[in-house]
Amino acid sequence: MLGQRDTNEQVYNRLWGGRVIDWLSGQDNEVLMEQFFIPESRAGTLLARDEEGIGVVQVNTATSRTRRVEAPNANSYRFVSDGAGQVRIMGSMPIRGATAQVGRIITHFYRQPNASAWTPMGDYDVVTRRGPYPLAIDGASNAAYIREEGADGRAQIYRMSLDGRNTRDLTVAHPQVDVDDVIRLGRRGRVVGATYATERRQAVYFDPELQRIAQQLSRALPNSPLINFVGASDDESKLLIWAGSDNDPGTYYVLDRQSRNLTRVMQARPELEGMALATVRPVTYRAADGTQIPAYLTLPPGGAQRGLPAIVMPHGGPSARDEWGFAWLAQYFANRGYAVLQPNFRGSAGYGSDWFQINGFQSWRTAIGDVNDGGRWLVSEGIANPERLAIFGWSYGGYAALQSGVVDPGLFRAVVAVAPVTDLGELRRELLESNSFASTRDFIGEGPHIAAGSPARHAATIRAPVLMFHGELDRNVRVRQSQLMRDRLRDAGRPVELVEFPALDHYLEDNAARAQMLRRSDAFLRQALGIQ
Amino acid sequence: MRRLLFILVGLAASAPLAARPSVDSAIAFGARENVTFIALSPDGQRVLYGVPGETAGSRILVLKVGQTQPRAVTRLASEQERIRSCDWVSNQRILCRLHSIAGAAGMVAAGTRLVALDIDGSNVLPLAVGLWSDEVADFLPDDKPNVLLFGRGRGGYPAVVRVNTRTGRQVYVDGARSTPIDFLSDGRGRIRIMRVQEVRGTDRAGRIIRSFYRTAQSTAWVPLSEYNQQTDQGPWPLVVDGDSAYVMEQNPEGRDIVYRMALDGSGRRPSAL
Repeated sequence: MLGQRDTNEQVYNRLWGGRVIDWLSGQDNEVLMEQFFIPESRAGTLLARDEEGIGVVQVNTATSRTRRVEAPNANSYRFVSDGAGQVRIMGSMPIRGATAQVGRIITHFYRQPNASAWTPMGDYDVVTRRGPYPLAIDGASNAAYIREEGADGRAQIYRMSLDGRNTRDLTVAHPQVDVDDVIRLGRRGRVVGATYATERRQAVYFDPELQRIAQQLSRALPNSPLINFVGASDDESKLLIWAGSDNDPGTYYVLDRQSRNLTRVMQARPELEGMALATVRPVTYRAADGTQIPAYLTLPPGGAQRGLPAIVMPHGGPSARDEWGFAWLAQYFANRGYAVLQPNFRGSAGYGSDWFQINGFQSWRTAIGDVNDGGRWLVSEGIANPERLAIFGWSYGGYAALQSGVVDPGLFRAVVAVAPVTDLGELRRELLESNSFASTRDFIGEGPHIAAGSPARHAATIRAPVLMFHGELDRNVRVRQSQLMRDRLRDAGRPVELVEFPALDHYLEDNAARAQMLRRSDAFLRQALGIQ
Repeated sequence: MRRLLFILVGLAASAPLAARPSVDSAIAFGARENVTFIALSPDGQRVLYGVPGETAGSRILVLKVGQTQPRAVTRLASEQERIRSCDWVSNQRILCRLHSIAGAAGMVAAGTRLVALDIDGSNVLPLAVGLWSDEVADFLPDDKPNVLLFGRGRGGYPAVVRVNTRTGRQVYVDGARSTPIDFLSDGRGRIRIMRVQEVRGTDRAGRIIRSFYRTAQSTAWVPLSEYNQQTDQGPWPLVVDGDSAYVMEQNPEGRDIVYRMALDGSGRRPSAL
């Protein structure tokens, strides 16, 4: 057992096995890990453990010798180490009342080098995403990299000194999009850059040598404009690199910086070797209120470009966005002859707080309106045959696919929804069983949008045939949501089919199940859209 | 700017897959990415990576940089367990995060574990998980060799755990994030009644024990009764029998009676004793 041992006397079982926060590069077999300390109940002894909450231990993974680094604390939520064994930041998310629900605010604290006292850094609200969120520590310069929404509503990354003066230097900001994260390298997690996505994902390297290598590899490797540094040897003389593009799922290489040898180690998707893959074009289209909506258009490789059967494919989340690159779902349908449009509708993350709206559930009218305008754009551009326009979505995208049929019943001639949310009230109720109910409740909100924005409550309005897939072990969206939609559509006399996968969760991580889902979706669409 | 030349060497590792059948694009595109995680060893000599199984399942492989044949470290065959990621703790040893998921009685739960092992698959540091209680909630006669036991979930709340009595493997199957004191199962693995003790702001148990039930088709908890421990007033569900419960309650004469109550939402009392 790594870390605290489980005993017969502990008062509950361990579900969470802990998390490595520092790989302690240079110390063989040693790691720092967060672990949940579980108290014991023993009669007639003072030896029972009574501490509870997340703490940090240093563990030898060969001998299991364990040394406590940070005492457990009932309110602690996360710890951040400097990559050299010093825990410098603690995030605290107090448990509220007797229900043990966590709240929505994470308060971070830091400590100065070799000090034990914690200094507050500020509050981060997990619902509005406002407030400072520390990403990483740069021990060498005694600073933290922090992401926080700027005055323009877009997330930026700044460095804050951890010396008591809290000096801030803006590191990376972008006028259109959020800066998502820092780029870390190797087991030490050295911060070497920051990244954001415009039409394509971009990296800003603080390390000029890595910047040069990335640029030169991007030019030297055919059709591989996307370059990621995936890992490094401890001395950083050897780099593990991924290179790929929209129509290349990618190849991994090891670069020896001394000899300049670039050794190809493996392909990400060898099954697709030799298959014609589609290019992906960033586009924008005009929504009904005039707003320009960014999207990605994937057309069948080497075929007709106009009058095609077409699919609008809204992404999941909704706090997410699609990016330029290889996407297996869009590529499959392009391979089968469909045009695919992936809109970053309002409600998507990554474009600042105005674009995020309240979020894709509470602002569903705007989000679904943008999705449907994407379908109309495919038709007005002559790309889609209006008789052969369909919609396909997964998770929130499945919700959007169903709700699009409620808002505009004639637009899409077939609806495919994988693991969809179908009733916002039911979603709120399901979340009562989780310990993050408070924050998720606030995310979904209360009010008339719960009824108006729930496709299961308007099933009779949907005219297109509906095909759904759902894993029975889905913890993100319960299978009950799809069953409810199926029952309501049946009651309304609408054609519907639900395929359930008994052993799978939200992500359908099973090759056979995914193949079945793709094949069945294609056959369903061909029949519904009248394609030979 | 210094010109940097790259010398492309070696072939990609041979795909650890059977020969590709004549192209079925649903199979080709539906295949999960062949590299579920990847990590370079501290000395830069080896690459450690995860490969998904043909259906579910996953394998861990290690490849010496410059060679094409990877070596197997270990594999997980179970459908409900995944190797989420691994990284190196030395040039010979790795640490992996496993994820398991299970469902029963309309509830789904997941757990994680960290496991360390050598790259030849040996010296696995075993994980021991203790049980809080030996009280059996349901012997699951139709689901041998599993039993349901009372345990506790994260946060300290009573929960129900399904244990494989042969392997010791256990999965959280039910629980709640309020303060239930126990659950009643129907003898077929489905939890139908939950008893919840009122908790005051000071975190001390109150006098009222509320019971909730579920109908056969639903996962929703419906209020069933309120029992006052101090006055002994109010219905107290004793046991679930099929689609109904036996409930004990003090009658106006102050004597305890037992009656049967349908758990189908009708509140029907088919018979009294």
